[in-house]
Amino acid sequence: MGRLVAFSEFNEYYNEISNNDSFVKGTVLDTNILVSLMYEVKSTHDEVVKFLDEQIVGNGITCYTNVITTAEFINIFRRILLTEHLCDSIDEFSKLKFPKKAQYLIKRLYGEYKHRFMHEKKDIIFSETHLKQIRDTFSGGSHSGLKPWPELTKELLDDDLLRAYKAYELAGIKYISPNEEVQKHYFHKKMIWEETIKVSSSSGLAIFDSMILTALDCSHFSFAISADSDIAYATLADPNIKDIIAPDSLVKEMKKYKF
Amino acid sequence: MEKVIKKTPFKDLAKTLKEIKIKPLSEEKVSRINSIVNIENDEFENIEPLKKIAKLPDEMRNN
Repeated sequence: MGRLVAFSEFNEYYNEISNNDSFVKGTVLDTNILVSLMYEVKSTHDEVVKFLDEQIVGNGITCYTNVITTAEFINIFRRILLTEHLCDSIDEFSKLKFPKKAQYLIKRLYGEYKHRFMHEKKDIIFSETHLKQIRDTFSGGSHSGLKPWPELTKELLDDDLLRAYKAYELAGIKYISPNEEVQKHYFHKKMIWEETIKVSSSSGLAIFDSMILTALDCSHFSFAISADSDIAYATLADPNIKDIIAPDSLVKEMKKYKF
Repeated sequence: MEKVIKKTPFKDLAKTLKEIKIKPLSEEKVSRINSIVNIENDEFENIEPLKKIAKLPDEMRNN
């Protein structure tokens, strides 16, 4: 049965598993761990940074992510950047001169998100639906031939999003796939959709998260690192899932569930 | 004795991401953005006067 191990218990856990001859110095990161890195208001930010640097890199363990995690990392950072810059336009000292209808919408949405942040601790990151609504306030006239939104997003995202991805690569996070010929030795069996669906069915887990757990199961790695309560829950619910290392606060939160 | 350099790649990554997020847009970028969205505003303003001219009295139109 998979164990849910708190960051503070990792030393002891590592001493135990690393003595095994079959132990491979690699682990899989989930999206929430990466989100914790990029968003310093998250309660787990400092805890995750310290743990990864000291316990993972410090022990020479390589961090891997799959295609879904990498895509989600870039995508969430895209939304953060767009939100930050669009909200800059409604600052009283801003020199940006957006159309009035765009400013009204951004101001209204910012107010709603701020309210949710204050009361529910929800992040101020505009949803795809709201970004589309803002996009529509920048649409050019039907015969204008102008493309203000595409040109605007190019200015707001182009260099910075690429810089974020390069920093991600520089941190030593490696992309892993069982389909890569040179990485086949990391896996002892093929990843198949039936297994992913089975993992998802065991606790109603999202397919994206199930893919992370299936990749872990098919690999020679002993554990994954997650800050996702759904993954933690699935680990406790499904005896076939491998170990998950999680922030102490998440492990404590999971104690309310009885399996 | 050789100095041991402590590696902190995740601290460095978090720092870079924060820098990117809080970095204000350069004056050059703001100017480029304003020219993009201002062209759009100007275009809408140009449509309005055309309608107003059509309603002007004949004597004013001749001027």
